[in-house]
Amino acid sequence: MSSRRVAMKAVDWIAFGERVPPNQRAMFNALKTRSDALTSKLTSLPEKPPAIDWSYYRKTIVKAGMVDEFEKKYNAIKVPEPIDTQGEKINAQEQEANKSAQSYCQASKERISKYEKELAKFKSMVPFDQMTIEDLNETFPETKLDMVKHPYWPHKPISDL
Amino acid sequence: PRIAPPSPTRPGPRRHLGLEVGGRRERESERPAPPPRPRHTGSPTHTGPPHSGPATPASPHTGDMLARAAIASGSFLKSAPISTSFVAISRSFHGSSQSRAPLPPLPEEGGKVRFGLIPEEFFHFLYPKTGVTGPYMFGTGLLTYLLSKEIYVINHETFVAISIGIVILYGVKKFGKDVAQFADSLNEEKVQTAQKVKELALTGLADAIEQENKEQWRMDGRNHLFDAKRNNVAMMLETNHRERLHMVYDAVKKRLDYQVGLQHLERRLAQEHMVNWVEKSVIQSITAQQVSAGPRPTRRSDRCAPLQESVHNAHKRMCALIDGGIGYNSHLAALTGVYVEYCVQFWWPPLLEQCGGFGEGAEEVYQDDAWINHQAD
Repeated sequence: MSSRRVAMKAVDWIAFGERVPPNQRAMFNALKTRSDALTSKLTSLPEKPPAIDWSYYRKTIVKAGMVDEFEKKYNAIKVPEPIDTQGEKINAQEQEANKSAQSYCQASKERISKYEKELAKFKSMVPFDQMTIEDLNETFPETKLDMVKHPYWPHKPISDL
Repeated sequence: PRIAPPSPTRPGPRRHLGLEVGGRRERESERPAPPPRPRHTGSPTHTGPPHSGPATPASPHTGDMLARAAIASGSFLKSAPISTSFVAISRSFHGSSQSRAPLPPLPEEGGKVRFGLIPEEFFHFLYPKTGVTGPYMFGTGLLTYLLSKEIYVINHETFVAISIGIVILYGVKKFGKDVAQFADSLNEEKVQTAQKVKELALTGLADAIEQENKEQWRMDGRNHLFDAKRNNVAMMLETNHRERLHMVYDAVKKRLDYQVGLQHLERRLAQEHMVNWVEKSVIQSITAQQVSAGPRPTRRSDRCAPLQESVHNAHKRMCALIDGGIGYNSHLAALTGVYVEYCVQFWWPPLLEQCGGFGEGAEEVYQDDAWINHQAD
């Protein structure tokens, strides 16, 4: 019925398309074509079927009462509206997606803070030409030579040279 | 100085609380001021070693710090929290006081020297007293003294030393710069690689941050997907509903149309049958009679018109009767009467021939709408 028409939100396909990552483009295109097909099918069907001209049939058909009976039953018939089986599933999916989006955003923010810390470290470090070896070892702990494990020069396994 | 280990489990302010509360506890808790010991557990969330006493081997600096604090400062109950979380300062040897300010950069060039041996500072040191030539005179005097008193003995080694010294000097003067440059370039390369790594890291991190932000922005668009899905579902439901309505309409219409079509068909069949039967019987009856026909109309239309008119009238009457729901027998009777009437007046067979029998006009006659329009033919 017309009430259902109103419930449909206008989907901004352009904005939607902007946010699709490139590896999911194909899925997005498939969804869009499907949506468009459905829309066109919907618009091609008129909302209500044309009214039956009962007076004409009453004049033409001989059988007594047939037309009246048909008319009564036709007007009385209630076409059941199709039940929505997928709606809850979609809502559930949306909830899940929201949750996972939350957690992803959290993780993403943590990653960003980590990156920013490293960025700060790099920005505030001593320039290389003013560094000593101790400075280097401080800034990049991986350059520190393990004197205990390899007491003899070059203080690292030969394969690492 | 003996340093008592701090007891972090016995914070100071508690003592005062204990005084307020109770009798006997008061006396126990009342003690002379705690022995002077440096307090450095002020910060409640210190991340360094929890028991930062001088015994911890991992941080000898803290030990030094403690000692210095114990000696230097008079008031040990410092309120300012001294955090024990030290970043390891590896330059404890270079300065008397450990400051955590960054050191100035190391000098590029070494100290200036004259004759490759004697630093400039010596010359500057002697300049106020002896002027410019002072240090040289001193050097000459020293050399003369060493040689004349034979403190330094000239022997074979001296000449060896002189020769080698000349060669070395020559080598250094000639190739020194190039070798230094080469060594510097080696170092430069290392610095360059390190610099590249740093730049890469910077750009990489900036990119990563940008990517993360972009991904977050992308996540914000997830509502669109679900809206689209819900729209699709709604559209499918609506389409289904409409299709059902149309199906109902089509079914009912089909049945009604079927009835109408059936009726039409029945009527047509009846007409045809009747007409054929009547024609047959009339022909039979005519051949028995001698019909004296009037002047034969010449024009075909004139000849055909009366027949068609008659048939038309008959048909109309018959249809009226059929619509009225009367049985077939009376129709037959009516039609027979009409045809007999007609045949009495006209000459049947030639007229039939001329008008082409019922062939041409027949279909038109038997259809409801079309032959009414052909009246003028």
